[in-house]
Amino acid sequence: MKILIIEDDKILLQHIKQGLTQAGYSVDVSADGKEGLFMAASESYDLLIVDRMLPHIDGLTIIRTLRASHTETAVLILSALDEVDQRVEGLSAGGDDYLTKPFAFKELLARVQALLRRAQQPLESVPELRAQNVRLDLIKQKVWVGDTAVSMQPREFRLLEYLMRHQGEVVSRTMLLENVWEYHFDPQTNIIDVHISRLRQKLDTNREKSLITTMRGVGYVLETH
Amino acid sequence: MYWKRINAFVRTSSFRFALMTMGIIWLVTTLVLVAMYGLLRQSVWQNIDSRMNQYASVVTNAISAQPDLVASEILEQFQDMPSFHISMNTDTDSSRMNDSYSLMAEHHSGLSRPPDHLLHAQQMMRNMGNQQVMTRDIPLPDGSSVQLALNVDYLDDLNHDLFKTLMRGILFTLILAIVGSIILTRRSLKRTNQINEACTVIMAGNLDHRLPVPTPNNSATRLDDHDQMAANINAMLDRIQALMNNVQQVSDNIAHDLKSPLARLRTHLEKIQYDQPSDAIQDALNEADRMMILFKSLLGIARLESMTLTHTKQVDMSKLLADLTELYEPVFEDAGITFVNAIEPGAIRGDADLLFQAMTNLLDNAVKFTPTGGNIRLVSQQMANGYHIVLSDSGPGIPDKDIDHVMERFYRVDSARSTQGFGLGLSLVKAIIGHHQGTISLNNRNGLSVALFFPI
Repeated sequence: MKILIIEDDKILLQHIKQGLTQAGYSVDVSADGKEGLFMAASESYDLLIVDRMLPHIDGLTIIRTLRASHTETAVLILSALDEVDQRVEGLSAGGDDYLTKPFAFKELLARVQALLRRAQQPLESVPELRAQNVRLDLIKQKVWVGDTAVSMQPREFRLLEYLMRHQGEVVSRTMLLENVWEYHFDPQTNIIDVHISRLRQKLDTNREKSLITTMRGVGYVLETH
Repeated sequence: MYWKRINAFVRTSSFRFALMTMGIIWLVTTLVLVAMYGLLRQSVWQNIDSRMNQYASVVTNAISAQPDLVASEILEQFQDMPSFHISMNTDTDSSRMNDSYSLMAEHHSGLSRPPDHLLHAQQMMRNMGNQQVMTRDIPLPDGSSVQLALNVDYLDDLNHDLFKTLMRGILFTLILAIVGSIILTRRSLKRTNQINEACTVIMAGNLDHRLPVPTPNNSATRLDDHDQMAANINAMLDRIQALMNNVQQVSDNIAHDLKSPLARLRTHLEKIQYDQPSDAIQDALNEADRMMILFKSLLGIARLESMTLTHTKQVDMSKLLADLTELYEPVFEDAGITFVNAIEPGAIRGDADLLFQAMTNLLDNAVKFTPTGGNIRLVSQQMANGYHIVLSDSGPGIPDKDIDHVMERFYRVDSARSTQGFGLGLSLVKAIIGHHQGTISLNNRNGLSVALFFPI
């Protein structure tokens, strides 16, 4: 998996590079818009991480240029600008996801994994999701823990579905709100935690360790084993 | 509605000014007409009087030339005088007393009434065979007298016609004055309204809008005072917009310049936490995040207040409120709060994410202050003028001294000081609602009642 990071903040760039390399990705970096665009256009990457404010050519222009030349590489936009309008602007320019600075590295990693997974396997392809002894039937919209059917409300089902699609990965509260409830903003209350604890109550019968682990300050992971 | 418009029209300063100007013109015209009438009357009667004098002196001269002439001979001699009638004076002294000349004159008015100074003991108005005449007594040496009479009956008709014409003239100029005022006002009001409408559009947040100013395509086209005012307002708006863009630029730069070092700080902390995990570092990380949230909220509020909605969509409010209810239901259950809602279908133009965020802030507050066993009610209604939402809880409400201030930035009610937060939640809500041209009002009604209104 090859990732290109175009970011002019050298310390942040090094930090992200180090983190992603440790996570097993092959990482190229550029601190300049012009150079970054050249690299993105000439080599084949699985994911681009692009800052909005860059020397010479800004991030959105890079994305628009790439999209105009039919480069379909997934793009994660990084920005210190976090207004809703600017997020919409970034996504409509061709970005696939938008993360505002500062961010926890784990949040970045979670989004990188989600984007790469989306690029690899489209969502609709599987009829059933499995994690440990939990089975989620996407066609019948039913959930089993072992042999026991568990009743779920539609939103709980979607929450579990999202967690299971990203099992083993960290998902942030903002990602959950965005993908399960389809509203984008940073929740500043424990509202998502309440829903997670409901889900745990239904799934964690006869289990030593909870299926869903809380990652302090970041979000949750649905454990594969 | 119609009356209201007329009333508003009449109240405009342009109309009053035009009416005043027209009123003065009308008054002057009327005065001139009345003065003309008076002068005409003077001149007509002077003329009659001088003719009287002329004939009287002819008769008097004849008498003084032949002092022994008797009345009948004089009558015969002057029988054929043109337009005059001469007769024996049959009045007795007593009848003269009763039939006073002044009384006689009072039967007439306006033009047909002789000026007082032309009436005296020898000269008076009389009614002779249904004809109005002016008479002059000429004494004879033998003590009797003859009477000269001039028919002035035509003056009645003349007066009648003249008076009618005069009144029509005055009425006509009065109508002209009012119609003129209205036309003038409408012209000036059209421009004023254009300016007002443009100002409303600009106030609604469309800062790129400008007042219409006719482009002077040749040097002969002069800009009137309204055009000049519009041009000046436009220049002022350009300046304000330039300043605002500056502020925008500066705040964007601050956001970038302060966020990046904070991001680096966070990065360093995260690195340390990765190498040597400790609770102290985690606390520092949390503090950095808190700072970031504060910063984002402040910038967010400032931007919302200064910007207009650009990416607006039709937002289904009933869906949004239903989603909100669903999201919060477990929270209510955990907190032991009864939740009741009555949501009516309705849609407004806006940003669903922002509106949802505003509603979550309000609901978070409601949950925070409602005691276990209490209740929260969410009611929405689509009305003719817009979409109304009322969220009320059974909490303690907000102290009266604070209720007008809680939406100010960093304002915190004393009782809430110990709880987490910056005092920006309601400011953000207000900014979001204001961003949608909506209104928010807080009231204490057995708890706090928050009323939101989004006009159509």
